[in-house]
Amino acid sequence: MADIAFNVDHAARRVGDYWEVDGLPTLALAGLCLLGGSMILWLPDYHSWRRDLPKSVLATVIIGVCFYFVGRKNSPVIRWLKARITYPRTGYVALPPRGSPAAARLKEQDMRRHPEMWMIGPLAFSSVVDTPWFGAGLVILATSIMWAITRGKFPSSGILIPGLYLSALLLPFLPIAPDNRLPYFFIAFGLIYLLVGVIQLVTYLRRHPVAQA
Amino acid sequence: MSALQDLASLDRVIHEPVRLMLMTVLYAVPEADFVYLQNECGLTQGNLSSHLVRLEEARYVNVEKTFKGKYPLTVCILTAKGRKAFEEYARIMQAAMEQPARKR
Repeated sequence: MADIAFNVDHAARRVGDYWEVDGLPTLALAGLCLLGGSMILWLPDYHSWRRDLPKSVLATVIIGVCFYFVGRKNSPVIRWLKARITYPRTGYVALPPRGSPAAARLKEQDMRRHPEMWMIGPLAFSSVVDTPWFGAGLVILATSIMWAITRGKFPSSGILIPGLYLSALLLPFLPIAPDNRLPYFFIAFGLIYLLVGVIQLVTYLRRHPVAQA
Repeated sequence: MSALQDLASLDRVIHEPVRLMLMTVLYAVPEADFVYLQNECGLTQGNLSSHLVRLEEARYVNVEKTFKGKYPLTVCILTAKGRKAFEEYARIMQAAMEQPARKR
């Protein structure tokens, strides 16, 4: 009661944590990463997308549709799943409306919760140089910097950080062309998120069995 | 009237600890259902229900029965009156806490 503003802020932050507690948003992100990686691999030469315009347009439309229906924070598929899995167990709370100060704070909280999002730059850069060891070294260095800055204090860092190291260490031993390193890391991220999401969902379901009438 | 004397005019509907907890959560979120409030505040069904009735009577909270998919929800939303009353309550408390600090 001493600091009401602090308690209000804490209650608002709990909404962000609560939204991810069931693992459903992580599973959606996993699906999106796997789809994105597969789509880039499916395109014959994604650097010269004009050569196969219909295929490029189709891939963009598929990713866009999947992002709208599954990938966004408050997407229809996530809401549909939460209505069947989460709300009957631990209740419903609405996310703050878009554009509100609370939504901006939630976005800032998301950036802190997912520092791995900053890895996209090093991952993209790793596909520029021919030697796979350079790409692997770059990702290992970026992961180590992320670990040092956050001290591993973000959700699921125990799986994400070893997963990133493993995907970087495997890179030189797999027959992956430099152009395909970005989709390779997308797929690696997708598999890591899939593991994290499944663990979160199973833990959540075990902790919160549905109430019997 | 001093900040200390203002404490006498605190809204007693909000001043009760459980209702203060509920108002704090509802002030921070657009809407929340009965089960979420119960878990967040660590209350029993009966306790939460009686305090929500009190807040509803004061027109600080709207309680609506709705559905998300097939799941029935009892959604609670802070009214404009409730929001204003909570802000006034927070202002009085904050002023009372800051007064001795300013004099030091």
